[in-house]
Amino acid sequence: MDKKEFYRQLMESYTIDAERVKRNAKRKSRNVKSKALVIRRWTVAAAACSVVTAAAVAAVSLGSSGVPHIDSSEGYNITDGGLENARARLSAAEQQYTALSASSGIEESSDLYVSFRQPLKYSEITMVLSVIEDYNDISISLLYEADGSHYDNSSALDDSLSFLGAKISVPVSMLPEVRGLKEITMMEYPESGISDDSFVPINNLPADVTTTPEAVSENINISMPEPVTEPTVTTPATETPTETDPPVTTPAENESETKTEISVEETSVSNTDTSTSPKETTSSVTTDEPVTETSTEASETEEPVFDMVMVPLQGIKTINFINKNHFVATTEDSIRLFRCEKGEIKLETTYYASSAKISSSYDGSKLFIIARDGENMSRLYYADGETSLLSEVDVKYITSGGAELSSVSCSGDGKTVLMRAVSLDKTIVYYGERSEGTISLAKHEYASPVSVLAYSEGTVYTAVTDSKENTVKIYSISAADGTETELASYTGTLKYSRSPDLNMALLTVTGDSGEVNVILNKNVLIPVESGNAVFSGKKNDLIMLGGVYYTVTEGGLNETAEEKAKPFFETINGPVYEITENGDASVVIQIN
Amino acid sequence: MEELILIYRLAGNIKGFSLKISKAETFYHKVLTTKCKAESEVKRLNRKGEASPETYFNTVYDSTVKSLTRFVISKCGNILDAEDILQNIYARFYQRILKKGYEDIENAEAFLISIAKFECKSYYSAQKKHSVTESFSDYTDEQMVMIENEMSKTQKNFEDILCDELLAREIFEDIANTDELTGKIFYLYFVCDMKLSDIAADLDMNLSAVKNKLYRTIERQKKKFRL
Repeated sequence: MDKKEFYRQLMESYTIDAERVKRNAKRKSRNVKSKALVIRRWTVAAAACSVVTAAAVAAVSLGSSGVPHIDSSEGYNITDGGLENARARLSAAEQQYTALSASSGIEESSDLYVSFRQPLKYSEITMVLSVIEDYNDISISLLYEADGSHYDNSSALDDSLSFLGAKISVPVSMLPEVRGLKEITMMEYPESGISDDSFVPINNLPADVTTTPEAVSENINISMPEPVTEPTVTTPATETPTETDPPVTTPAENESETKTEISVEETSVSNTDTSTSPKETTSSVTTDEPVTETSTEASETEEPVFDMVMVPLQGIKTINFINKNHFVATTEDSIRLFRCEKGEIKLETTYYASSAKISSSYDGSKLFIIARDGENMSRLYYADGETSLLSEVDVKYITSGGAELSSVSCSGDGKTVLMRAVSLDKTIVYYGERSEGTISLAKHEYASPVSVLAYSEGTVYTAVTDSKENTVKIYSISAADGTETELASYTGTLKYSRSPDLNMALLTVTGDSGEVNVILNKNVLIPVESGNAVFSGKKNDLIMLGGVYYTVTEGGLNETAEEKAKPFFETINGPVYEITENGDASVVIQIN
Repeated sequence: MEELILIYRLAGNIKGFSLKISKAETFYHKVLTTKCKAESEVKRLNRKGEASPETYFNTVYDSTVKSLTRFVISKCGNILDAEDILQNIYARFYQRILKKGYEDIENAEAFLISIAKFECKSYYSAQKKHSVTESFSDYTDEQMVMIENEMSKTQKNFEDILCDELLAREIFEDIANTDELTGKIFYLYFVCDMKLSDIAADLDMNLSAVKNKLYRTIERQKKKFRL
């Protein structure tokens, strides 16, 4: 072989993998295909609606004629005859979930068959899915009734129809979030041998047991509790706290709480509710100063020595340091605060709650953690690096009607708080600022899925998705008087990324005619070419687009010199930790 | 087509070039045959309009991937981005035929090139265009002929290097990371068999800059990897 042939083969082999390009192009299109199908179906919805509704009614009343008799009140109940079959399906689904999560690329999408806890209308299904922050990436292609009869989603236009299952397409990275949705009892995969025609939904609750949402009180009465820290339980690094942990209370006054024992050795938290006028749309949240702990620092003259120490907890899923001595660890069913001191890791606070979803401020010092209690109710926890405390925020006034707290975000300085609560019939956006220990929250209700985009100077910005029309509308709402103004309307699906300070966002709307990218900042939508933005965590008006740095001023972007802007984009290096696949974790801490 | 083959045949009489020419001829013939077959297949599918979108896509893909790759490599900022861009182009194409069918597409390659132009533009819209300032060659004409001659000499270890995936990838990445243009020049020269003057025209560079980048990298790699 000569050099020319060598270089030919080398360049041909490593520049392009033609088979991979073909495979990925198809996969990528398939993901978009589902969305495109949704759009197309809605455009013919008016015609399709009457036909499908008529067909469904005929099928129900006649009981035969090609479509089996449907009794949607029964479903496939795992508490009766199909128990073994249901168990086998659940087991297969779990195995497939594990395999899929481990093997697939994060950007790939997967088709799923999901079963719902109770019959849901199409609008309710979209609300259930909108609990997930990036719900726009999920598309519904088929809707299933109790016996496996299925329709494409145009049939959902008739809101009298309810469904017990659906076929959806979901990015693999979002599988855990879909799995955590409380209305979904099981997700199954085509790889398990299930096809569009063979899928029959499984619901583990009789359909007549439905929770009727109670009216959410107009008084939003959220209190930040005052944690009282008792002497801590020191857990030597060799022990496993699952054996030694005393039971811990979750502080909300819930009589049906499964863990209600209080141990003096643990942190106890008392609620301090604040009352507000019933007619107020804006309410106050009082944040009482927690009792701070005295942290033991190493002597300044002593040279610090670091070592890796095992965290005394099993089944760890996440670790977040809130300051150099404290970290929050979550497991399948608990959220715990640990303190690192002289080579030892001490358990400080434990809350038992599952499906923890963490939202962190830019520097990691403030965490909001949404999780679920034994009653499947949303709970909110707050960890603060300044006070080194983990406490529960009472959100029962938000969640008591069955609403699920779907996202909570706070700005880098912890002042701005944005929350979203989703129930089957509405989404409520809460927004406000904290000042001297008080958070003033306002709220706004929507009947459609909504994304909270940004908050700036007393105005919150939202995006409301209308899947029937395939449109996204951007609104600004004044926190002072609730005035809503439509800023823009786009056709297509929205993706967005927010700045760490929540003061601006990059919106990307993908429609048939291509992609539109805009920066939303203070009532102005600035068109930009790049769909990739990096926001500065240290200076809230700086942004990097396609490798170029800009200062965002009102109404425009001003290019900024790289040497001036770059220092504000440096990443923060926190303490080092490692979590193994089986949930053991170790952290590097100072041992002297 | 006839003209090109004739030129190759005439050149084939020159001593020392016969092997290369017969390979080029075979390669060219093979590409043409595959392309003609695929094109007639695409036309047939279009006429009938009954093949599934996937079958149509596969046929179009096989017949256009070489020319599209060449186009993308000429237009992309870095050879390492080419695969991503190609993937986006074919994904858009597949998405289009899934949504609207393919009956109205008369020339799939032209259709794909128009998508490619859009894709390359949007992929690099945020990046500034590179400027080529090199114009003087590091090498004399004699040195270039020597390098060319050396490239035609058979060397035993090339097969072994290609089999050693780690080393081969390292050599490839060394080329691709030299700068934005070198990888493209290598691909267009060695894989697409383009003349250096055509490459220069395609990449909007002057000929000596193209030669300089090509030969300098070959010489550097000769020392670095003992090629």
